[in-house]
Amino acid sequence: MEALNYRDDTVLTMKDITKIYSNGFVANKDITFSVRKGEIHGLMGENGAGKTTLMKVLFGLEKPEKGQIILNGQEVHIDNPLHALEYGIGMVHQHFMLVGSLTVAENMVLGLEPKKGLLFDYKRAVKETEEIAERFNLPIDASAIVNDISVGMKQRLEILKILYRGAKILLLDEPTAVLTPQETSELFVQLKNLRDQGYTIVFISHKLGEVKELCDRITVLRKGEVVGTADVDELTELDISRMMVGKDVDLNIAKKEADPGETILRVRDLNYTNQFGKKALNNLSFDLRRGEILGVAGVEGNGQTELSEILSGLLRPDSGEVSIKGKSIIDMSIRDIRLTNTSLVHEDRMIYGASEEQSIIENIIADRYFQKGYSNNSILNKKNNYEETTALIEEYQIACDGPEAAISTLSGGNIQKVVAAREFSSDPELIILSQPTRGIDVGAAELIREKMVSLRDRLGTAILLFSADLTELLTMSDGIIVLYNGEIVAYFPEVKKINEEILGKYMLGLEKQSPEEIGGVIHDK
Amino acid sequence: MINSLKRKQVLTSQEISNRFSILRTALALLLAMGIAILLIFLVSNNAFRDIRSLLLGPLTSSNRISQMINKWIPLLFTGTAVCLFFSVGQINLAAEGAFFAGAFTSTVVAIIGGIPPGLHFILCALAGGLAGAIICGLPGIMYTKFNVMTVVSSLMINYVVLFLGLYVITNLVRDPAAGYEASYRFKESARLGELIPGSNIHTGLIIAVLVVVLGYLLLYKSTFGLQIRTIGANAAFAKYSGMPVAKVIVFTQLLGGFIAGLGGTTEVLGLYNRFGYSGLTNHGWDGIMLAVLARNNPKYIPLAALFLAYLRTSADVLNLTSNVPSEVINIIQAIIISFIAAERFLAGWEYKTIVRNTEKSMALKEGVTNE
Repeated sequence: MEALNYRDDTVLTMKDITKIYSNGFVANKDITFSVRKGEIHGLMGENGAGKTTLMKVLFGLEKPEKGQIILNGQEVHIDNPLHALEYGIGMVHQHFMLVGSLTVAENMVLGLEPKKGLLFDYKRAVKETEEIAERFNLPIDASAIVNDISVGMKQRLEILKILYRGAKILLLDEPTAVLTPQETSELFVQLKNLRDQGYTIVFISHKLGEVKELCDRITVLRKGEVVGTADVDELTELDISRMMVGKDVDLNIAKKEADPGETILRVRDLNYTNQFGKKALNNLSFDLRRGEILGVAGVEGNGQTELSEILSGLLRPDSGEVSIKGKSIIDMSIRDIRLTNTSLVHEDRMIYGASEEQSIIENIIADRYFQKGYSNNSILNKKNNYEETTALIEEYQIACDGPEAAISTLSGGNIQKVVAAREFSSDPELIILSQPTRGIDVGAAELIREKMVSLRDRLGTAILLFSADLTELLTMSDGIIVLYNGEIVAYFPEVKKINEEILGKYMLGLEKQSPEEIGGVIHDK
Repeated sequence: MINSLKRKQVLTSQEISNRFSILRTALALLLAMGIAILLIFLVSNNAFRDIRSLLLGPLTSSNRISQMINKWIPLLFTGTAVCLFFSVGQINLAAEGAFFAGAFTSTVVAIIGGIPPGLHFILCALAGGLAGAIICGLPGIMYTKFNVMTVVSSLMINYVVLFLGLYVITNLVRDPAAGYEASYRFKESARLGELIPGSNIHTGLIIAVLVVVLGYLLLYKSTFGLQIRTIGANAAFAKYSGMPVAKVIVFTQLLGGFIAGLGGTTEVLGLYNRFGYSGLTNHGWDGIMLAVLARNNPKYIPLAALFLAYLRTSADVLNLTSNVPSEVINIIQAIIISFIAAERFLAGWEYKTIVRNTEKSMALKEGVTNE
């Protein structure tokens, strides 16, 4: 790994950056990082390694405790995003910063609106949007409402937005996280185009394959520190992953063939119309059997959230039946659903999965405090709860200051371990499991995946796995269904025979299986 | 190994945050007192005497001490009630109305003759408590059923209660012989006796202390309290974990209302022989301040309430002995509330301390690994 050499074409250097958050978390520690003009520089590292924080410092969203930013040989002070944009630095965030109810053109000019007298000149906004889209060869429908355009288009709009604001250095924070494989390769073509026009791109990612394919050089962070910078060609994927994790990672989970038993979860003709009047679920039918992990694939917004929320009792369907072990759950409270020995993991960890201000103990017992042992005659059994939480902290390797530590003092991965510790420790027969490893470090993800397999094999737990991570779906699932526009468009009983490309085609709605093939997921005729 | 070392020599960030929260309260109190003293200097014609009255006035005679304790009692009720409301995440401001409702409803029962002593007070307490429960429960029900903002509905309901109460007193139970707008005399069988003969302190004190203790145990030791606090911290999480969110919210409002109503009952039957209020009494508003001071934990209500009762007694002393207006006390109260509610107060200092502490623990860790 080469030492940092300051070459003439170094356009930006961040020197000795240290950032400590108000909860005492050291996100960046003496990080020195530099990019050259006209390169795509991969900033890699596990979740929580400090990539986003470093970019937020550069974009003026976080103030570092220490360090300098040197742009074109001169030290600059960037206090806020407007400043950063003045210096030609633009950032596309992990989560889209768009106003969904406005049009593409309106989003484009937000804050820099062209005026006709005192009034907003919408026509010119549209024209300017079209011009900039044409100039960068990134076509977009300027008068479409943002809510109606695809995720890939939203991503494109975000990039156009910062180009419109004059950015020369583009910071992209995990731009592919929400894209399908097809949309991702399209984005890569566009980014390479921009690079060839002299733009500099910092590409944040933890996906090895993408970085190998796209980037010229990479810098790897681990636990807030720089591990090294190198040309991508010099490294293999294994090298990079070793740099990221600090040890050899086993990308494959040891998992035997599933041995499915009787149907645990039965869903028939499920329909749901969302608050905007859109049909989110359309005649969904499938079965999930004991000892089976059934993956649900789909581009975000194709009905997965609605399905998982109906199955966990948060939403009521328009019609259809859902039963767990033969009992209909449509009119059940969430408590009653949980009492059928079902565990629920929502995709939104900080809203539904954990209570930030409360202790680990209180988070662990939130679903069982009323049961014997956890409380007696309505009085909490403090000793038992303390001891059991301590044991779970040990078993799930949760890094914390003890069972009474508040959730807010934990890292994302450790919070998810707390959620898993609660939901997996009640010996569930069924788990509705949404995004179990989204945004957490490899170590935590590995532990959670191992626990899933162990539950399946040890207790015959049936798991319905919703995941946006296709690699995870393909390694963890025994069978996969694909949702597109609220419908099941494919069922793959044997995951070994498929890959991400094939899934991608069905996820984008380019292909659809025959009703007979899809009907294969109904085991209870 | 590293961890145990770290714990001994360096605090966790959470511990620092907790210390700062105590420091914030202490500093707010000091600042408020400082400003009060400054004000007294500005307006008083005998500043040193009046500052002495402010600081020590309540302790100068046994009469004033019992006055202070009698001011303390109702605050224990309303403080605990508001702790319950706030813990479940509802900004219910109807403790004021519930206190008033408790007072006038129990009045109606207390003027009925022929009920044996003891039982008579219990009936009054039930009537007052239930009235309070209804007053505070309504905003809770409106919130859970129709998503009406509790802060608005509960604020409004106070005035409904006030005028309903005044109507009842002046039209149904007014004693024309009293010489002023007041109810008939309470029957002796309904009134609370003196706790220590000759002290003027009434037995409501025992009920108040019980309420605080039970309130604390309920909130922090029982499964119901866990539900209350979880809903207050994150209602979506509570619901997803299977907790009966709406039920707990409504029941907590009813319970808090009962406590505030019981406070009103105890107050009128302990201190007076007729109902003579002509407006709201402010005990509910004080309860809000106390809950903020106590961070919604009934455990700290007695201390917070004692502080307020002390200040109020000081105000009375000032009123009697000096030209300093007793409103000085209101200023103190306002300053304290503002500082404690100001989350960013001292935030910069807290942040720096945490950063320094983290740097220290980082250095320490490195030292250990290097050895």
